[in-house]
Amino acid sequence: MPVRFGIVVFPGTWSDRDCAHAVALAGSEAVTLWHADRELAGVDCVILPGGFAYGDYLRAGAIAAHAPIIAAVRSFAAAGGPVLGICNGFQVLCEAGLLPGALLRNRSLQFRCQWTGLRVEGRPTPFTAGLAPATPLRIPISHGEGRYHADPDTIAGLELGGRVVLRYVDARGAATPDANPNGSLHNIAGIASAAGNVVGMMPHPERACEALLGSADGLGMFRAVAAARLGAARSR
Amino acid sequence: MTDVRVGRYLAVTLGGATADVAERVTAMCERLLCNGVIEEFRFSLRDEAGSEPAG
Amino acid sequence: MTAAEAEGGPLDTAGQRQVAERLGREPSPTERAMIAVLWSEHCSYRTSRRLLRELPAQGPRVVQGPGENAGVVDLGDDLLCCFKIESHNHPSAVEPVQGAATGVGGILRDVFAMGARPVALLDAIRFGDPTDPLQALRFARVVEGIGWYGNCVGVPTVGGETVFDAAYQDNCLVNAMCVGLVPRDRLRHATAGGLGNLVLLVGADTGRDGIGGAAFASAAFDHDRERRRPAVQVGNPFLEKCLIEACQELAAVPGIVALQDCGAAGLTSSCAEMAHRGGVGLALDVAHVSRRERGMTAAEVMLSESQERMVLVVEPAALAAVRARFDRWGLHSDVIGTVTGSGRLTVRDGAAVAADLPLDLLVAGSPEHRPPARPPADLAARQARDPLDGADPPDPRSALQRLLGAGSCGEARWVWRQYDHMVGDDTVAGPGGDAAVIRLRGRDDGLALTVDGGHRSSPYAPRAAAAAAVFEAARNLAAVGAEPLAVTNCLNGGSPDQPVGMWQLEETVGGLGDACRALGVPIVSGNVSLYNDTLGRGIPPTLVVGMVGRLAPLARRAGIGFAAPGHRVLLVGPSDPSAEPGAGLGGSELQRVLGGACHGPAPVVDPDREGRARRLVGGAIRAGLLASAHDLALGGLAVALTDACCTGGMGCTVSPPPALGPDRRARTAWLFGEVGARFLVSCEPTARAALRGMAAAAGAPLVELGTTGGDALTITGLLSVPLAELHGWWGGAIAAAMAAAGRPPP
Repeated sequence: MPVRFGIVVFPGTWSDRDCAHAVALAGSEAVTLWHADRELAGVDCVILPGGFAYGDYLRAGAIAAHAPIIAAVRSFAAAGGPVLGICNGFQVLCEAGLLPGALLRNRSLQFRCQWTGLRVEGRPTPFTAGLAPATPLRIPISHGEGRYHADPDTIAGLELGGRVVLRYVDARGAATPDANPNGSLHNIAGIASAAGNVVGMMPHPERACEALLGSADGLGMFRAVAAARLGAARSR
Repeated sequence: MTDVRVGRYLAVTLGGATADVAERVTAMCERLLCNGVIEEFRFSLRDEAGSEPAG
Repeated sequence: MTAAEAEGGPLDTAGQRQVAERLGREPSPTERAMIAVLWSEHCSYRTSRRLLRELPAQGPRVVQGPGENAGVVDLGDDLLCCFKIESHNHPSAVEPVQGAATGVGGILRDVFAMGARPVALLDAIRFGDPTDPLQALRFARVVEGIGWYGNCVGVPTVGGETVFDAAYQDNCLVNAMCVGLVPRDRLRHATAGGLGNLVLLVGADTGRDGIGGAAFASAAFDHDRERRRPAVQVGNPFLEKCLIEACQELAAVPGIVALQDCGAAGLTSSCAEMAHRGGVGLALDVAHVSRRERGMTAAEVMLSESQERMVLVVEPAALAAVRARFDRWGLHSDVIGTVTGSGRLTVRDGAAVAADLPLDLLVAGSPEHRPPARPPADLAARQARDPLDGADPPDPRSALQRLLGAGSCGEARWVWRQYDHMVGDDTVAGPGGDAAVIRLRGRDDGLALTVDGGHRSSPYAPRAAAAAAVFEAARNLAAVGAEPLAVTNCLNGGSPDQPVGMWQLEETVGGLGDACRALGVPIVSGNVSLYNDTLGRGIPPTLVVGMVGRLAPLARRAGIGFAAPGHRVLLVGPSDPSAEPGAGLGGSELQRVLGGACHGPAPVVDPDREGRARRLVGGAIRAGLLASAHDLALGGLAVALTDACCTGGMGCTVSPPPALGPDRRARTAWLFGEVGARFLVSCEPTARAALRGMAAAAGAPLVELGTTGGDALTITGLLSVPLAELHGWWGGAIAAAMAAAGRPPP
């Protein structure tokens, strides 16, 4: 049976269709989860996609973090279910307290849509397990508020705990200031929860699933979930 | 001028009992209106006539 | 006195007499306001419509020509492409962020009103000197506004054009184009019908914002443009996004008769046009319109241009299902009226009748405005003048540096990196190429999209300049491998009440029509923006062409950058600009950067040689022979070579033809002359013979220039610039100007 991805749609979400497309390319099934619902329809994995949930007029992700569906996502995550927040979804996870830190306005004070290089590192997560590319992943960003920020203790804890799972790097894999598109601390592009099952990232892997569109490096993140479940089933 | 900070000003009208009003506003700020990671908040209370409430 | 009541305005003394005679009474203040705004140029095309009627609008693929919210062409297999371009020049000049943003919002609504899902945005913007801090600030704010709206609604901005020219110092141009896709059976129209059907207003509440916006967009600026700010609307892209999704869901709901954007002139225009198209009447009660402000009069409600509103005509039985879809997206809706058979638009405010006007008077009754047209007195002298005024041609290296430093040539990454150009997962080629390419799901073809403004010689050669824009757009499509399907256009110009302005308008429309007829491509939608004047000084007539093409198969396409070292570099088309009138330098970008002059022979627009060059390049791409292809335009061959080197990340070594000789004027023309029907292409050495064969068969000139590779652009005997330095010139101009004006660094 294919893995079922639940894709949460808030009013103002716009990566839901792209995520569903990526999930299909990865050979899995996508179902829509409506923001006002309180149940997850038995999905195996939850994606919080990009967009401007409820317009993000108060603060990116602030209102969405209180949406009815998030209570269900919270329980799902607590039970070890894999949750991936992409862009606005990352902001929502931080606002909901499912991940530490916050996303500030880009250092440039401008919106940025561009390709970035990403190094996969840290402890394995449901989305990055098995990804050990020789060269940095090529995945684009598209955000105005993506500068990862947390207090020094939190950053140190993330680093020591292997919870920084994606970092902006140059073509040679070095986390240089020039490779950092938004001023994130430590070039952080993605982090995981302490248990590792909740991952938030600013770049858009769903836009990098086909060579036709410039890169297929993001597809592995959607495939990893199915591979992990298959592995778990085998070991059972 | 040596520094500028941009903040947000919200005017909230509350109904109901006034006894726990400070706690209610604090909870609102902590739960939704502010993100403690990056923001801090202050508030002042006025009655509808615009004066500081007694006590 | 409002713009509409000015001498020669639509409701001047003669206009008022006409209205009174027709009504048999004096119009009420509300009626006067409604007529004035619907009779403005923006809504009634009262000056341009007799010219626009002559434009070719027919073709085998045309499903909907001008007259609806947007034009529609057939892509085959029951998929339709719906698109339009529109200006938001006046609002952007006064309030850059909101003016530009609401321009994007308006053009999106035009497209999703047709039932289509918007899949791409493009924008063409024109400003004055970017090193002027005020221009830089306004420009940066317009870019911010375009980006903000498009990014929030999740529609990719895939292409555009950025031009800086002192001619736009006082009147910037902001034109936005939207492209949507719709299955044939979901196409909607904005034609009211069915007596007793309900008129539903959905989306934002109605406020006082933007009242008189359409009339304001049809008037010139005076000293006090800040005072105009209340006439600019304020956008809410979140609400728009919800409207897009809700309108998509309406496809599943039967009983929807019409769907219409509530844009310029607000409810007055949207309701009057829907009813007039359907040959019915409407009875509205503004008391049912949800307000954002207290105390609004009936006229204010009818004329408000509050954004993010749509008007529907629905069968009563469908109302509950329609409202349920809107409710789900948190959108408020009000039933504000019914369809009648009266042929009139009747507006009540509760018990009081505020307006009762025959629709043929309101929509089609505006008296035609036929101001006299006269070419400029110095026309012949200007065309006969030497483009460089006999001055010594500049040093090639510094000329190239100045061209690239002026901001219109070279890369506009500073602009488009602020736009989400990838959302939707269909962008195969985004900004930075000749045309954007988006794929069509489940098919092996794609769409190619471009916007192009006319040649700079437009003030004195408007016909040629307009035609040049059409052929440049067609070359942009050919350079990616696509064939044109249809055109949308935005006619930006100065006041037609000046005889020269009227002549420019006539000639521009003439050139547009000539070119599209020669190309065999219909014009399916468009927009007119006149009165781009400040204190009596108008902009040059600026036709902006939006062209949609089909790229089949999608797998066979080309980009502008050199692909690999050791490839051959070739020039398609006329190889010696010095053989052209004015050596291709009349009205050229080189002439502009050397001192701002604008004169010399008009560019030659030769549909036949354009066709031969296009067929060669398109055919060679489909045959898999080309590694890169790039249309030659602003700045000529030298700039095209720079684009190909910098985009491809490698240098090249090319040589002028020996026949060119040592003459500096001929060499300047060869490097920088702007001659149509030309492409810079590259291919593997093994493909040369086949390419020559195709060129001979197509009858297109083809000459070899040199070889790709190395880390410099070297033009033998003329210039050599290291790639790193060249890249700085090419990609750094806008960023440097913005940094100097205090905008964020790269």
